[in-house]
Amino acid sequence: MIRKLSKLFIIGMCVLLLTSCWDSKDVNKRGIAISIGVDYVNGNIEFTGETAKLTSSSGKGGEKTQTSDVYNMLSYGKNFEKSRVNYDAVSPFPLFLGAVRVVVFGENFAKKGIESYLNRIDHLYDYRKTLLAVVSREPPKKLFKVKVEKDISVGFLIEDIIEHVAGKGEGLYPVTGELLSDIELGKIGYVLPYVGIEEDTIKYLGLAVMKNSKLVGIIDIKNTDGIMYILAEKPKIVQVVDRSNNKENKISFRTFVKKRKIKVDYVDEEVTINIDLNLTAQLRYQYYMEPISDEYIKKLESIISEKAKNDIESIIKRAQNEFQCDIFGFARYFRANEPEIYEKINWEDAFTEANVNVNVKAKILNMSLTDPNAKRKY
Amino acid sequence: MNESLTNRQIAFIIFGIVVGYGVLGLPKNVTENAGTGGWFSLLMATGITIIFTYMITYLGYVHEHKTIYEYSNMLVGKYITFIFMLIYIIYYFMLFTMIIRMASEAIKLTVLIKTPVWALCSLFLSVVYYAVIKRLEVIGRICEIYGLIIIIGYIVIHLAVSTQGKLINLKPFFVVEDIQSYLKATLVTIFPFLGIEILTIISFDKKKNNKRIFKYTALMVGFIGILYILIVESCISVMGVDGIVHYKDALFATIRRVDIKSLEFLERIDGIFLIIWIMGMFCTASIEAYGSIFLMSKWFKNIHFNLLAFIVILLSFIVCHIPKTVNDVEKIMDYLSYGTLVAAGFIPATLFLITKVKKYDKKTK
Repeated sequence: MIRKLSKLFIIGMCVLLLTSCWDSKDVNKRGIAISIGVDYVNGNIEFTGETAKLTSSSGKGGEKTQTSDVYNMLSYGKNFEKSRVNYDAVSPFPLFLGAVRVVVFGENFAKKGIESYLNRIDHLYDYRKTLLAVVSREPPKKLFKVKVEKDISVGFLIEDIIEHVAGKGEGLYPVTGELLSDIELGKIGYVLPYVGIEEDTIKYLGLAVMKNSKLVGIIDIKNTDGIMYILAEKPKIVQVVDRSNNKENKISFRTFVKKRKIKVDYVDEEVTINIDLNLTAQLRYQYYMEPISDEYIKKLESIISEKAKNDIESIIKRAQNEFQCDIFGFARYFRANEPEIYEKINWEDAFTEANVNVNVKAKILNMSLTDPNAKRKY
Repeated sequence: MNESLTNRQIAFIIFGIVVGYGVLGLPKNVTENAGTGGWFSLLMATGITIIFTYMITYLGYVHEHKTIYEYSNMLVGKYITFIFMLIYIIYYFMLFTMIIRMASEAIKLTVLIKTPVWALCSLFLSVVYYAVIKRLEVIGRICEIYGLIIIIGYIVIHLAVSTQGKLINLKPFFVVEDIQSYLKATLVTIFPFLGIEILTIISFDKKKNNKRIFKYTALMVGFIGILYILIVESCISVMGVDGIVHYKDALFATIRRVDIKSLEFLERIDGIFLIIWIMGMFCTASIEAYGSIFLMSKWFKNIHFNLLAFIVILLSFIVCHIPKTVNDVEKIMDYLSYGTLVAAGFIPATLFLITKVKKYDKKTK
């Protein structure tokens, strides 16, 4: 009897000690943040964002068919902590950050530097470290007011757009963890997706260039191909080539990076960046069907590789001259290759003066099962 | 009263005690001292540990059915044995107490913010108590089962993590000029391997443990070395050497930075990792607690083992709250890790030499 009771007692103790008792809080008693916006307004930090509305807003009769139900939050303060205090002063529930999809930095804040907020994300326990970070052209406050029809909320919309673009190999999906790694390496910059409002909806506009975690420039979406060839995990860039003898006709290709080799050397006291790319291209379609000879394929291959080469070279030049910042993380390659010299030289200067050799080889793999050279009998 | 274990159980006891709390900060410690060449230091440390493991295994093998208490008495006399035993008892006691405290602190800091440390400690200690009073054979079996789960868990998690990392972060693999710092780092990287001295309280039985026991223990240490290298390299590949040095909980930090989209069920990898890590901690703590209580029971033969265990665990609960802050605990852990050099290196080596000199190994054959 006593033995049985002792077991019961132990189980009872475990239940009591089972630690989540202390931490548990009903989901209805929490404010679940979906997105956070950080901006700098009149010398104050401005926190905005969206919080999921869990308490039903019924009472006006019937069920609501609308799926999205978020309310916006807003608070100001001299620093993050004060702003948070102000937020807590008006909110009924403690904010839970584990469900945040995206953190949006306003341009003003990005220009002053976002490192502090990235560190905050890193050290606050409930933030995911795989959180997406973007820079917004419009103030986040305005961004979160956009009426979203395509998704659940602004936060989800931004995340889904960036995920879609990155998945297609045409964009990047930088998460806080990666950015922190870049910051910790020092000496290099990074790029963030740049979004804004256009025609009443949110649009991916290109990339924001961050040097020392401060916004120093914007790369327009049409000029991002070069970066994708270097940085994207699986770049798939669409290229359009004019058919030389028929200006009306264009050929659309999709190019993939089959092999990417980056090596950064130290030759004659100068840094040399060597990028070797093997592209494969897939002909998607011609605007108007015309025969393509084998010779012409060779020519097309050289056009495609030339275009990719130019894209890469021009964006690296821009990084060297305009941004003066290694946004590609070449420092890692240099350190891997020449760890001793890396310790001695100033990488920022070395990068701006580095020689760049880009070598692109494109191969057209297939014609998407159409035969432009088909013979007609009649 | 001395219980014997099978070869495999002994190997897993080693795994259980070695792979525990130390794993959490391992990537930081290794990279801080050896950078990207840390794998080399780990390899060296593994080699050295295998030598010590051999010595300790040899002691147990030659002095069949005896634990360190008996054969030390025989080799160096009562007085020195008393000192040795005192060192071991205090050492094991402090180790499991501090490990439980640190684990509770780590859990509190990472997942259960509002749970008081004493609650976590008492939960840990009560489970450890339950394991200890079931004696070594049961602990051996627990280690066998848990060990397998832990091994599979670590391998799966870290292979998954390394798919998210970048190869470039691991380079340069080896810098010839840095070889000196790699060798120096070996001294630091050897600490996570310590724990092998537990073999001294396991009595060997030649029916169960033939010569292959040497293979089992050495291979297990070698395997732990490889597992450590996998863990360190996968963490560096994600965080880079510059980032990882800032995190005392480098492993948690790495895992929290990883989000594997294609493995949705592993999305919260840190949760799974936490379970495996706690299992490892539990193995370590219960073996160490057993070590301390077992050696004490050699002195207090009149007190029933279970009662002694209860007193020790209660004492541990009190002691584990003496350090006020996490920093204090860390300092104690640092001192303890130097103590391991005595417990795992000096004492077994002395006994090994005496055994060799007095040719006990020949006599027992």
